[in-house]
Amino acid sequence: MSDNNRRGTFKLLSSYIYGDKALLTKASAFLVLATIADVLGPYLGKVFIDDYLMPRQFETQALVTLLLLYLGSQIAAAWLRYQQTMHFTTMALNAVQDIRQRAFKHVLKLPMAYFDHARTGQLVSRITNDTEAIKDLYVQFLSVVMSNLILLIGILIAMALLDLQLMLASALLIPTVMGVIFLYEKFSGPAVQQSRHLRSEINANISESIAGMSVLQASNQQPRFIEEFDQVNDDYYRARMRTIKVSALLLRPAIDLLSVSVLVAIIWMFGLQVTTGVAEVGVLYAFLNYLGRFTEPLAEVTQRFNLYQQAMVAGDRVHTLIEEGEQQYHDSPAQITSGHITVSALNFAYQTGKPVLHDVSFNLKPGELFAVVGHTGSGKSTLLSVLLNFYPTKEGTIRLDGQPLESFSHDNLRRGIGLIPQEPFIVVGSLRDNIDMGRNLPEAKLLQAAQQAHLTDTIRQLPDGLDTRLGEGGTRLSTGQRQQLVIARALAASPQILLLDEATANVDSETEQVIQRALRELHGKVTMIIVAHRLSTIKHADQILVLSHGRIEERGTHNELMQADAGLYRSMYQLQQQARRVQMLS
Amino acid sequence: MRLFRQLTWFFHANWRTYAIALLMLAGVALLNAALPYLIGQTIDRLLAEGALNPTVEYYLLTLLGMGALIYLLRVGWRLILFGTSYQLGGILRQRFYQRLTRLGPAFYSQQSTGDLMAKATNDIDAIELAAGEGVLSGFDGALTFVLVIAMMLFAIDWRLTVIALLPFPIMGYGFFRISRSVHQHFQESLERFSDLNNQTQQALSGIRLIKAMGREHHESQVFNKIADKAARCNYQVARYEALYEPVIYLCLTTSLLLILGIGGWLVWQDQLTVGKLASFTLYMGQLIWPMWAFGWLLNIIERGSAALKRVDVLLDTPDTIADHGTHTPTQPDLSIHNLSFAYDEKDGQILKGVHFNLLQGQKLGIAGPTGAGKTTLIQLLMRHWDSESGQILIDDHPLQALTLHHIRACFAYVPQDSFLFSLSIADNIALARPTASLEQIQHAAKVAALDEDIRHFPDGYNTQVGERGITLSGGQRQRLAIARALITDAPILILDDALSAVDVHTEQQILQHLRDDTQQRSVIIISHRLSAIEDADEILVLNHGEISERGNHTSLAQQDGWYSRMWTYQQMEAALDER
Repeated sequence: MSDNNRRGTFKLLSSYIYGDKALLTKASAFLVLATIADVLGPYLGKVFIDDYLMPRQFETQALVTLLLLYLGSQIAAAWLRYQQTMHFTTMALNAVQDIRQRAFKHVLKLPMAYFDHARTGQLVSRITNDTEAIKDLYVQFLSVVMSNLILLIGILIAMALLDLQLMLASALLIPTVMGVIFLYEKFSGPAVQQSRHLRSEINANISESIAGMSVLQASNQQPRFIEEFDQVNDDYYRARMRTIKVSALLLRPAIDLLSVSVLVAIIWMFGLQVTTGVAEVGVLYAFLNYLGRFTEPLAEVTQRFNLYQQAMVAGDRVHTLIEEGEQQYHDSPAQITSGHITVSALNFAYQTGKPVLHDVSFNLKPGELFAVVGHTGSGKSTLLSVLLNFYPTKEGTIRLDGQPLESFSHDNLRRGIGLIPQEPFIVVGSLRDNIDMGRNLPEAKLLQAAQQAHLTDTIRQLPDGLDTRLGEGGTRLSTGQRQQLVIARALAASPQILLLDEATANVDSETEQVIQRALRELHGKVTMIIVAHRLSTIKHADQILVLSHGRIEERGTHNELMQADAGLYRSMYQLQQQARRVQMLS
Repeated sequence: MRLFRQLTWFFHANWRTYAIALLMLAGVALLNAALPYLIGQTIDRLLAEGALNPTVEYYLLTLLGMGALIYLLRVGWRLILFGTSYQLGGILRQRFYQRLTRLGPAFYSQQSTGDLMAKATNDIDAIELAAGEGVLSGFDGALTFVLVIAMMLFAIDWRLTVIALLPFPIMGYGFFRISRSVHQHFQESLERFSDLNNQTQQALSGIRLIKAMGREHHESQVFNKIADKAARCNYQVARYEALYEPVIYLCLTTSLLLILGIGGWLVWQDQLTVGKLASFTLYMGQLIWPMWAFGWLLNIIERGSAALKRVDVLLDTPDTIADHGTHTPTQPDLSIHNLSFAYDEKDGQILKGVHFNLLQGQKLGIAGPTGAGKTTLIQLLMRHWDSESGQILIDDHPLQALTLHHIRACFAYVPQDSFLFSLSIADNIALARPTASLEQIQHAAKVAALDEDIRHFPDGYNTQVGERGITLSGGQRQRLAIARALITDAPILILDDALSAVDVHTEQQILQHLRDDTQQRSVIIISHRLSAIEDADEILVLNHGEISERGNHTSLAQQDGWYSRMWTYQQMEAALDER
């Protein structure tokens, strides 16, 4: 990670701390007040012992005041502590929620090319796991580290007010504990890292063995793999024993030993004071009380610092992601009104030097049905992606209604072009949600689209009509019904242009009929481009474009193309007829 | 406590170590209980004598010595107790892994890898925690509680004790309630987190559709809602966790107030010394831990026993295939009689009345549409499943009479998509024969037409594959799997659609190599591409689990059946590809 990025990360993370000033001020105020009230308790105990108990003075009024003060301060301390913790937690959770939402929103706006290389699993982990690590940082750092540091300072001040000498003796604990923790970090660092490494080794080993179990068993290698697993398992045990050794020697027990030593030192110094006759036993009482709360914060604070490091690494990754450039859209008011498409001299390549589309040109009048066919890898799907403006084109132009494709705003472009993807994708929700897809379209439009897709009968038969739940745990639709649904979804926004990516896999005849009927009825009303795999579906197309290795090989209507003796289209058509003959026997 | 009963075998085997650790814990608790008392004594002595004196110095030295002793004991029990619980984790993981190697596809087809992983990691951790910290908090908490109360009652003042303890039941109850709520909300927050994961996963895998429909904004809103819920859940967890402190604080304050009040009055009456009052306050502080420990204990025991239950179910799963065979086949002649099979009665028969023979050195081709039962047939041959009707004989012995090891050793199986381990290329090829020499590995790679590719990799045969290495293409993976099969001496080679991702030219090259190479090996080739089985001695066409056509290529091509139609189709396709 470069320093620059580190600084960016730090700025990103700290901006949230200062972001809500009012909240920060409130939380800090609670923290300081809580600490004061907290520290007051033992102090009042000291006053009681030294001023009233030891000299045997019984002044009701003073004692009652003392009692009320004590009670009041302690109840206040409890309440203030709680408030402080919750305020800091709110800050932390708000920050993380915001980072999370920002990251997610940002990722969705990244250009399509980004997703060609990114691994989904890793991206998911950026948005969820890494932000979770940041959350731990905020919650821990803000509420634990800050409040413990302030408490420590508060105790030191109270101690100094009571007795400077004794306070200095107690304060010796701070460098000592820090030294011990330093030693701990030094010795445990490698051991902890090794045991973490072995742990992930074990996980990787198990998951790999599960995935490759049939291979393992088929090749009779179980004993060897068991032996290897045992080896890692043993190493892991030994590594953990090393970590526990270091932490047993240097953490809890050591810190407790230190506090006993300081206790002894304080009593001894108190003894010296007794000898010189300046001692007040109440002071000792207060110190004993304070000491009990002294070592805890120290240990907490020092131990949390490695959390900080982990979170910074996570923060770096999230920051890098957020800095990634979004896809830009114009915001001209131009809308797609008629559905006229002109593509001229289009060249396209994902990577320079590996062209996918060569010199593709065609002209589509509004309402025409246009089919693109060709082998896998001929560039059909790429043509669709380019028409959807998923990738910027450098050579050639695409014009919709005479305007360049890039000049449309995001919303107008998506409203004007509908897509029917290969896989009919159903979201968990009602049928209405599935047609509307969050676009908040008026009910009339939804119903009209449903009718155009011949879905009305289906809806009538469903138990709750449009409100029937679909997806996981809901009503299951047949493949044909799903296809109708997807068509209705695409039509609901009344697009001028409809892109249809036909499924490659075998489609049952019901689904095929659904598509056929929809195409026939929409013909003339909406400009349609269909990437077809089954040539039988596009017999009625106004134009058919045959792509081969990214170039236009043939073009014409079905009848024209079938005339060409050694034509590519004709051969493909015959091949599919043969496939049908094979199908009949399977 | 059922958890501890189920782990008795472990406690029993390690009772000495546990006994020593518990003794040490008891020592710590005793010394800890004595400390405040001694401090009180020291203070009283100091005040009584009015100056530092040898007795006080002696007391102080004793205190230091006790501190050191406590330190040593604490280090000791930690090493022993945690060490033993780590051992338990190790043993469980080991058993878990061994069990996994004895389970077959019948088991794995019903389990998700994620689930199994969770058992091997989180669940075993939870059990470990119960055996380590569970024992610790249970024993230490109880002991400290008893000792401290005893000291307060008998060494200091019983009246003061009774009064000072009044708020403690409230604290214990509070802890119990809080820990339950925290646990509950924590579970919920885990669920919300996985919702978050799911939504992100779903959105990112459907990014094309989202962009095409302009749903970015809507998806973000859905995500925001989930993130909001997750945050609210986390807030609830934090809220309950934050309650611990006020509860401790208020109860302790009330106690201290009562102590100062009543204790002060007792001091006044000369029935109590100031030193004892100080010790008493210190004891109060020591009581927080046991209260806390009980809540914690309930929690980890609950988690540990749920985890143990899940792990035990897995550890008790019987072997998928009972391995009771004793015979060793000498001749790899295969004969299948009237074989039928169904995974599940409901799903219907996958294979119906399949029969064929394969003598040593023969070549069998199997073709047919997807879902015809070809792979199932192979899995039955290798006894990954047992069939209820029909017979599979190797060297005239039914499979059940042979040892599993020998059955598997008969076959060199190449699946369509073979799994590569995170090892070097050479180790992956030599998987079934770790002792193979480099020459043998290279020879196998040459036959599989992979040698050339490997030489172009950065470290040649030592190149790592998998997560920390390079990614192989589908065709390279298939060829590696073939090399992996060839390196064994298994007498029957099975290619299960194992050439689907290589081009026709390479396919023919490999097949030619195989013809030149086979040392009297029998070969079964399942192939979608009929050119791969053209020269087989016999070809079976499987259709819906039944043999619909059989014969050699010439005879099948002459009928107007699935085979000849498919053959024509593939010829046309090849011609189209040539263009």
